Amino acid sequence: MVAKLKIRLSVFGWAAFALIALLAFGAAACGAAEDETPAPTAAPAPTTAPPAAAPAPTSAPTAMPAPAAPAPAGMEQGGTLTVAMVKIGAPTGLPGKQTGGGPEQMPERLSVMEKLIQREVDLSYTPHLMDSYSLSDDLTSVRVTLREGIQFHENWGELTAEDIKWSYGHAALENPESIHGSVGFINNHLEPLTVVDKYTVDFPIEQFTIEWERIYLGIVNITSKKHFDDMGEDAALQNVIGTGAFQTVSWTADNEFVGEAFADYWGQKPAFSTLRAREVGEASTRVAQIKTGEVAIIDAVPISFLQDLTDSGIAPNNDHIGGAQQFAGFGGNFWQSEYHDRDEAVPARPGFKPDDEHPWIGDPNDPARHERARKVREALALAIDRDLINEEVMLGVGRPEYVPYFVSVLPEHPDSWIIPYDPDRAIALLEEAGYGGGFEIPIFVAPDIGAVNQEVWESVATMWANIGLTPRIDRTAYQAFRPKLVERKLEYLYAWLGGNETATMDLPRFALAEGSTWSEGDWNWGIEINEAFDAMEKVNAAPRDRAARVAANMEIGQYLFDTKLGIGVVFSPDPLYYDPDVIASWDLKPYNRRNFESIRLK
Amino acid sequence: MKQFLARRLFYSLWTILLSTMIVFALSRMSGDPRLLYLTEYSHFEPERWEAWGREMGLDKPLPLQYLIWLGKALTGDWGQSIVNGRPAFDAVMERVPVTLQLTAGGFVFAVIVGIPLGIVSAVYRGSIWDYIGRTFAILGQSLPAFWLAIVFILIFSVNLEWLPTSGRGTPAHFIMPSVILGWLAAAGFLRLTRSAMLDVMDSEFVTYARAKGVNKFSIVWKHALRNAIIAPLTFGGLLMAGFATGSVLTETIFAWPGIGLLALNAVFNNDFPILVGAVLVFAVIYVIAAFLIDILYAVADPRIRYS
Repeated sequence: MVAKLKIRLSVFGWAAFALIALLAFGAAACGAAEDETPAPTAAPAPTTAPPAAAPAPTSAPTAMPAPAAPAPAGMEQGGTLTVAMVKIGAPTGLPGKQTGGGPEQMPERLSVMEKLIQREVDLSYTPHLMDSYSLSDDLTSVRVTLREGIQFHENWGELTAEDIKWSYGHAALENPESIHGSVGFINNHLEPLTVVDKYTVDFPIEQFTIEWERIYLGIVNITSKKHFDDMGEDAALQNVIGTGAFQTVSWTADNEFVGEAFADYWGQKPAFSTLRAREVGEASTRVAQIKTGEVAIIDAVPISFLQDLTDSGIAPNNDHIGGAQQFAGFGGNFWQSEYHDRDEAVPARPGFKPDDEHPWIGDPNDPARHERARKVREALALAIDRDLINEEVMLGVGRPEYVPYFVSVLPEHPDSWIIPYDPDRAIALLEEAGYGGGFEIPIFVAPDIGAVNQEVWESVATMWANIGLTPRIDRTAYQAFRPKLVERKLEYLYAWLGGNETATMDLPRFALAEGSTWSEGDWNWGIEINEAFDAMEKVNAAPRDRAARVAANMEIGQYLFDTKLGIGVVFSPDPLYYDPDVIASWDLKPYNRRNFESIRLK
Repeated sequence: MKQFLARRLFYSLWTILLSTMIVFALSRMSGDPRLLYLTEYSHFEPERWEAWGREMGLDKPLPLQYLIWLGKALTGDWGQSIVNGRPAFDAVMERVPVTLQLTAGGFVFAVIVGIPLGIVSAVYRGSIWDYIGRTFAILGQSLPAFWLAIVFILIFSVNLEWLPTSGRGTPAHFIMPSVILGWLAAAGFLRLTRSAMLDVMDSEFVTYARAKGVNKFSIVWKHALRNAIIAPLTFGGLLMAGFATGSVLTETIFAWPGIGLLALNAVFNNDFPILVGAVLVFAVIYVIAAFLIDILYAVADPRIRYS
């Protein structure tokens, strides 16, 4: 009996041991897990010779000279700046693997990789990795002259024209396997680059756009060709080599980036030695972190926290011009019958359902229905109290918006585009259109695109319910919803983001043109109209005539206002927040860069 | 016993195989996987689109696609992340220990709080200790974890400044995530232990032990608990598996870079290679835990292994 009991206990013990072992495995792995980031690839011995003397310039580029490189500030040893960001992502050092969003943005945002050009607070462009750049008179090429002496991290040598050609080639122009977020866009506009000499590279233009600076020079992160050649694809992917102010010490995917100030950085050197950026997905947690002093900067915080944060002594900084126009497109209005670039009929779009279940969808072949649908869209636009949403949801720091992609602060924005709040007129229009009894109106509001403001659309839905409609918010995850956009299946409203102050009136609106067959096989905001593509063409066709470009944009803006194919609601600012007890100054630039190297700590 | 183990092992492997079929089917039901790679400005040429499909094996019959996929999955080739091209196997497996670490913390909290409170609650039925225990159980089972987590952060991090808000690194980082993850389970342990102990404490052999003059400590901890522990033990194993697969919320709020957070990000990014890998790991963890529980159960109750 005793022996049997022992055997039973033994078996029992082994089973229990296995259970505990599983737990112990986790615990034992703790130590390893904390250091799970692969150690940075050992820096090779420098193999490059000191920079050769620059060859004599082959041309005399006069346009856009670079400002003098900032005088290197003395680097204060020690000091760590810790920031919490909604997304860190995984280290992705290869341009051809830098898909849209995080993988493309983060290396630049963390000041690890850089681009050729930089945008200033006044929205002008200045050369960044370049001494100068110039557009040829016939608009067929751009010549870039690099700054000399720019070094890559980990002793991977000096930046040369070969690195530029290779980075652009890998991102799109010479890499059919590329999944870069703008691969097709780059390929549509540029041909493979030509190296002129060590510091000069030509960008042959396939399709000119007035936004040539941003698109040709401001999309691709620059990395070291030599690093890729010597270390191979896997190492080049995981070990992010750039020219930025911080070189990677460790980068744990979706968790934490630790960078050290790059001693050989060509520009303004950081005044602290370590940048630690932590991914914290929950906004409430990020807010708690900055309040407790665990971090000095946070991003992507809903505006509803503004008062709480400022009351706690935390300061907002919106010099990066964060924020977006909240607008909705009336999906299903696929009106384009012929392709934009050929005399060929467009196949029937699954989302094109001009019937009584989709009263907002017009049909150019049925003028009566077309007009009724326009009245429905106008009624919905009139039923939104934009001032109230701005006051209550945006805490008064936003502003009303009306026409998609044409923000209301543009100097050219006419008062006639202002849509008043008039629920009585909205109800009357619905009755005129034959829908006085109401109808169900779904709105897709992506729950996982931080800039799409949920509360704004909940308010809009309530206002539409107040005029007798039955709104329904569709909160499918964006990436799961996206195929519906690509396949032209969208048949209801699509809440999206319509740019910010950087979208001046004389530039083409590519995102607007995505509402035409130009974007066949890709993202589309639920609408296909010839006018959207035509406007972009007209703007691009007048590179030397700003007035013509503005006129073309005004024309499409007026068209959008008249048809109400999309309706703006408010502009929602998206400032970064910093702790003024820690940060003395911060020269934040617009767009993606965070310029952490410009921060001076107290 | 060997026959029993072999049978359970077979069922476990079969379950894993079935789960791979379901995972594969779901991944294909979500649409053309190539669409996942498209961004706003992708503009792929039709030729490349077709070639890509051939590379991904989309031109083959679905069962064949499954077999190819399974073969690769078994050898650790789970494809590459759609978001950044990283091998999905590496991305998933490096998170497993991180999640098991949190699981261990939550499990330990649940056990060391739930079981003793359950015992005390049963032994001192109707006393203040019983009410405290039952209140703890009701709170644990009724308060939403996400709300509790944020309140904990406000109290213990922002106001009292006792604990870090999030992240990992020091023992202090474990406390709040472990408590949040383990509280609901502790409440379950408490209720199960309490009811089992109440049954056992009313049984004849306990009365007999009392009559023999055995001291109270021995009656409770040696005789009664040993008989009452079977149900909580079984519950505990599955609970641990549940922690490993269900810690998404805790990981998100406390920025704990585990497999749950990875899976959540993969859902938002439609990063199917990562998601499929994470689900496979979840399935394997659950099946292993269930297998171990079956063994424990058989050891504890011979009727099961002989049936």
